[in-house]
Amino acid sequence: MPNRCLIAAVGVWLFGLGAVGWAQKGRVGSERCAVCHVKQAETFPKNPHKKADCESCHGPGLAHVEALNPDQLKLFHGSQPNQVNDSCLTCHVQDHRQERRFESAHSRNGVACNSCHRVHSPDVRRTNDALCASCHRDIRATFERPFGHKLAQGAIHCTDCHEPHGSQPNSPLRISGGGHDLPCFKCHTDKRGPFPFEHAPMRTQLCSTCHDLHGSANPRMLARHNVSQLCLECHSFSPGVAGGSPPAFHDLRIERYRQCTVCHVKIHGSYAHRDFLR
Amino acid sequence: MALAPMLGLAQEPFSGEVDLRNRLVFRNEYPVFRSIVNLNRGPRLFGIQSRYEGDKDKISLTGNSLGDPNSMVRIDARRSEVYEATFSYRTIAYFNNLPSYGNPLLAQGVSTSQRFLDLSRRQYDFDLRLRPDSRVIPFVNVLRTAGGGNGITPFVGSGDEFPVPARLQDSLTTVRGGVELRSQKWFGNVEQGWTNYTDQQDLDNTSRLQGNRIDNLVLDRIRERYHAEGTGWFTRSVVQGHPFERLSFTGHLIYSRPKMETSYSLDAQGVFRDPNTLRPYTSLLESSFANASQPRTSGAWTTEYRPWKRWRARHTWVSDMYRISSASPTTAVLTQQVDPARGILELQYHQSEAEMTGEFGKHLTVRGGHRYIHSNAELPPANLTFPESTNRAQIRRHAGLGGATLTLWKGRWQTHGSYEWSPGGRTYFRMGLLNYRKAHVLTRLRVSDRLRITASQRELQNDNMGDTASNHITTVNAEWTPGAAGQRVTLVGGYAREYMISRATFANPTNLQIQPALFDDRLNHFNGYADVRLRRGVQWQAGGALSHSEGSRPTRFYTPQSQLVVASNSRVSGVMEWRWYRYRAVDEFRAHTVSMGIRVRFGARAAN
Repeated sequence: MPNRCLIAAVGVWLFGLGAVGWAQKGRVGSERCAVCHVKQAETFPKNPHKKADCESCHGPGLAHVEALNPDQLKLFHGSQPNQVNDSCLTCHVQDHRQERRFESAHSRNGVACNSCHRVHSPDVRRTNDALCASCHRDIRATFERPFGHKLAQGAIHCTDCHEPHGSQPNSPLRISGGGHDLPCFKCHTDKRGPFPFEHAPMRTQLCSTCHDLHGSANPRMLARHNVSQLCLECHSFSPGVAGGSPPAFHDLRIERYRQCTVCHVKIHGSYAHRDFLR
Repeated sequence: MALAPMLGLAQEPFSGEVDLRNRLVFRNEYPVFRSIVNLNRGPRLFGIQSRYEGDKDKISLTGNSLGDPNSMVRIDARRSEVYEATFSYRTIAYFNNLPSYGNPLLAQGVSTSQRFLDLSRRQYDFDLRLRPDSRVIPFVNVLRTAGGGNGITPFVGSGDEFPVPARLQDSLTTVRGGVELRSQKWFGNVEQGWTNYTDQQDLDNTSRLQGNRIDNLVLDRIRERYHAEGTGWFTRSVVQGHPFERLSFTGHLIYSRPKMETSYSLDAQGVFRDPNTLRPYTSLLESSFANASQPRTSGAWTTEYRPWKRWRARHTWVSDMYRISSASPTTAVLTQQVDPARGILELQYHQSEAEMTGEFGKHLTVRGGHRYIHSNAELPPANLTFPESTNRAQIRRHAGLGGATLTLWKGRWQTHGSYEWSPGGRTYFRMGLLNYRKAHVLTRLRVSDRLRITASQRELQNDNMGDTASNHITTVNAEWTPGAAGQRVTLVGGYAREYMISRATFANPTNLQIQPALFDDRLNHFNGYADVRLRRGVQWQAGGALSHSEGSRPTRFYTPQSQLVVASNSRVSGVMEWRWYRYRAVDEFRAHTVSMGIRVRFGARAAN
């Protein structure tokens, strides 16, 4: 009986050795990679990926070492984005930041993980404003308009409002407060509500209905150069569209009545007046 | 085996950088400067980065602009397999005082401070995750944001409006906690949160104010007070998984129920006139109590299926439903007239989106799909004149989606394109998209290691029941790094052009004549930047942005700048920077800022 146990144990051990050998087939280990790839080896120990070895991502390296041919490895530079992403998601799929990646415009438009992340460097997150601007040049330019969020002054960063990994479908905005508040309300708390008297577009559409959120040539980052222009685009003679027309004493030829928010002070929502007068 | 211990690289645990500056600001039109730029003068800790990295512990400290109106400090700490904590503190100063804004008398040459805000805000955010490398991760997060300050706001009543000093305060506290569950193929998250929210505005003025509208109306004294306080609970859950190699899914569900209670009181003395009866009176007393609640349920579910290796099919369903119901009986104390008011705002929003993505060889990815939005909204009653205006609104919208990514020359050329088209349907508001086309093309070309060019074109055309709004945005950007591996000179230049036009019609309520409301904005934007290493240890940077807008509100905004960095050794360098701000529209200002300082690095490798 003890002999049988011994034989069985040896068998299991040999099987284990074989399995490990099979798994290690063609692998050379990271020490061997570091002999040539000195720069990567220097920065990699400070990288969060340091628990993994080179061949976890690039595949077995023996053929590459013997032939000195990069085609023998799994390289990601210039690869199809899905190939890159699939490789990263092998480990990162359990990351809570990936929970909405399917809805991400980046993912849908084929922006690969390594477009923004440096896999070998100490700081994997390159998510600074300049990086975002390297693609979104047109958006970056709008911040240079006089009325805008103070990106250049360092008061705000792209990722304060945007979740690059994905957010609510068709909205790249980082939803805060447990998933219901727009990021706007994190700073503009007084607009949060709910108000007893709500200005409906603020709830049913986004703040961008009236404001250019990155930057505008118009004061208060408004989408139009004066307030009345903005209000009249909904509060006009438009059957089938919500929003009533101004009452008759609003003679819109007079300058005063074109400054709607001088009277409708609490235009985002009021605690006390249904017409937002106070 | 991990690479780090094998290589045996020497690691110095501390590293960092400190940047101390003193800034001088020369300016005119200070309120306009602050409304747009908002930088302070004097000594400040411009930036600090510090990192300790031991075998198991990691702590980093990051701060910037300490002493400026907008500053931030962040601390990240982590001990392997024990905890991961983040604390951030941020201040935001919000100042806005443009004499031209919201001033009904501007056309008559009268510049009043109709609206003014000088608020400062503090935000604290603390996040703690326990056993971050395990399968079960408890976490807690506390966010507190509070702001307050002074301002001027119009008080409206009695047939006139008066600019009155105001004191404003608000705060928001959110606490949430829960647990994350992970396995090889699944991820789940359940969290419970609580919010508390306050908002208060006090108007207290005893000096006599003249009305903006009618000469003989005055406000002798006013005390007005809003106080709003709300609490709410929310529950959130997320699940994602890939049970089979070809199948992945993710879904989330959120339920929240914020409630708000408010009180309002007004006590004003002066010479007023009832706008309806034109009868004069001298006292105005009003009080109201209101409440509002907003139960809300949101959810989304996405499934991705890969029938073949190079094809992916994705379907997403989104639902969002909420109802704001409120009541606010207002009592005009003088007349004891009670005006019961009830508000309601209800929304049901459902969206279905299906998309297929295919890879054609190594170079081309193509996607196409369809989106359908079905939504009903019930809005507050329009207390206005035209009965045609509806209080129920609907969206029924089909949209076609398309896109492609082309990669050539081993990734040196990459073009992304996307297109969205909706033939119409319904929209809540005329500002929303109805019959629209959206297109975006972005091309990135790496001509060589030293020259990169990026170009993009974005188009939006919206036809909203005869009223149109269109956007055309073109950007071209080039980055050139001549010299050895970018060490000598770097040149970056960009140009953006945006053309926006909006045409809407409205009926003037007094004569019902249809009139056009036109808005157009033609923006040309240039930015350029040069980074030159003059000799070892001396680096000069210069550039800036010019923004030139024509159309309904012609605006110029120029921000050239130059910076000289002289390093005395590898750890200490001196910095001198000059910036010029020039703004010209209805209001204008010019300002020079000059800052000088010292930058010190410590440790083996400065933090990134």
